[in-house]
Amino acid sequence: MAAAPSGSRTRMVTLISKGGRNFKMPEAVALVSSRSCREALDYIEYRGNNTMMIKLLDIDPKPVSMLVNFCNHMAAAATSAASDDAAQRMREWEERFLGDDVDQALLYDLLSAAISIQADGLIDLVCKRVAHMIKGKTPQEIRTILGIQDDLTPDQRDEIRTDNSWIDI
Amino acid sequence: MMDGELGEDLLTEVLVRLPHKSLARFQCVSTTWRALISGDYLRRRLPLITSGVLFHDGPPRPGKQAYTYACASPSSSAQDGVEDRGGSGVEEADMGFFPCHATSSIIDGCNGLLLYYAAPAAFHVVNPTTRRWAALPAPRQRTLLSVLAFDPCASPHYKVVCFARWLPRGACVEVFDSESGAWRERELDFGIDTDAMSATMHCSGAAIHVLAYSGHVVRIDLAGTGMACAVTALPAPVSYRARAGHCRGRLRYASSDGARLSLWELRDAEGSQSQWALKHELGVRDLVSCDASGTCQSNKTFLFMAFHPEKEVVYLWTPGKLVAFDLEQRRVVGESVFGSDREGAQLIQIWLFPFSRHLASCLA
Repeated sequence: MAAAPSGSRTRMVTLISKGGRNFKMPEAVALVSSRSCREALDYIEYRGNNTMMIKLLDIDPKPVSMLVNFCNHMAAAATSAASDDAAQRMREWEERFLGDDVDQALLYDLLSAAISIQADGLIDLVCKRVAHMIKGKTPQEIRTILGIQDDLTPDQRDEIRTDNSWIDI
Repeated sequence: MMDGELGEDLLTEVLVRLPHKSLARFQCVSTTWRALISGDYLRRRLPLITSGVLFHDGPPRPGKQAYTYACASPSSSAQDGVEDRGGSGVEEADMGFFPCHATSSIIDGCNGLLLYYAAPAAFHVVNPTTRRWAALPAPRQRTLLSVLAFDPCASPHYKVVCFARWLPRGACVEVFDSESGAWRERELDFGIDTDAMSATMHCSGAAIHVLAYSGHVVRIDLAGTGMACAVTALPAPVSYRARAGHCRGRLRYASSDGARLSLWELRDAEGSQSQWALKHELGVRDLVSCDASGTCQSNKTFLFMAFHPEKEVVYLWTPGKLVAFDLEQRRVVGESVFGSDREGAQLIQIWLFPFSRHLASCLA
């Protein structure tokens, strides 16, 4: 890891959302969750106000703020010892983080933000949530939610049904 | 929402986290989803199912068989929205859907399928994941040893090889091919004395690989009709704990001298010259925590069970538990409590396989 220039303040990472809103976190926090921040350290030079700016200009402020919230939480959790209690508390936090108020659109934006900085932990969490939301749905419900065209022929549908006669399709 | 190339990668990340039934059902969403779900890219990203056969020693248990099948699959054990972290319990599979379950015995298994047998000549192949089964026609000869071969990554078809008679350096076998639905008789030439052959074997890449006490592994080809055998020298002696396997397509060998486990990989096999590399070594100290003075709970024994098919991870059995050990991180990365009846249950063999479209459609 590149050494900080002498006499500098804490290095920060700033995410810039749609509308020019800035969301900051210490570099050390970003490094825990973001693969692209870790990789960028190898070649980025810190200048001027000692902060790395990452533009997420087509993502709304709310998901970007949630992303920073996630990074802060993961960095704090990384410093405490692993235990069954800690794992349970993490699960409970994740349930609250992606609470009932997080709708499909917000989930998608959160995923886009996570992908932008390669926050694998958050990508995993959101994908698990989406899987949980759709697992009990019928194919028609999936098509309606995601706006997908039904382009299977009756023959293809029969083939799928036969190959998978162990479940009801 | 999920469109374009980036969309497909994301969609795959969501799909691989679904329970198997949902995944199978969602093939009906659209042609794109069907292609993605039945494709190789997704199959390679699916979490593997771990299953195994347990042998219950001791007095016969009423209503229970001596050999039982147990299975752990990541998405089936996951509660709503909560992922199973760390340890997981593996329950014996309920085989009640198979009518001959109580009157037949499990005699072999392979990557998600089981081979049942009842005297005099009743063979059944059973898929516990889809709860389907098939009765095989009887072979002509009595069988001394039967082996099931199935690769859910390659094909929905399976083979059953019955060794009917031993020859000095080979055997007369009958092979059932599910594609043709018929038995064929063949004569095998092992290339070494039959007396040296062990019963320790595994299936990979359309072949059966058998360990021989003479310090060799014999590869019996199943792809062609000739069933040619090839002999490769092993880098270390074959004890009863020795096992072979495959990882990323290469032959691996695990040998133990009682104190240390040595893990080898075959680099080159040119005729009788085989080049093996010693990839990893582990001892009990790597697996159990030691107290401050460095004393380990040394009464624990670990038996090598299998290589992960893709990662540098191996599976070890200690009574009651299957432990996954990451060879690069040098630490235990998972544990499964195997078998609900822990008293005297021995894990005989395990398989790690993905839920593929071949697994879903075989025996259809």
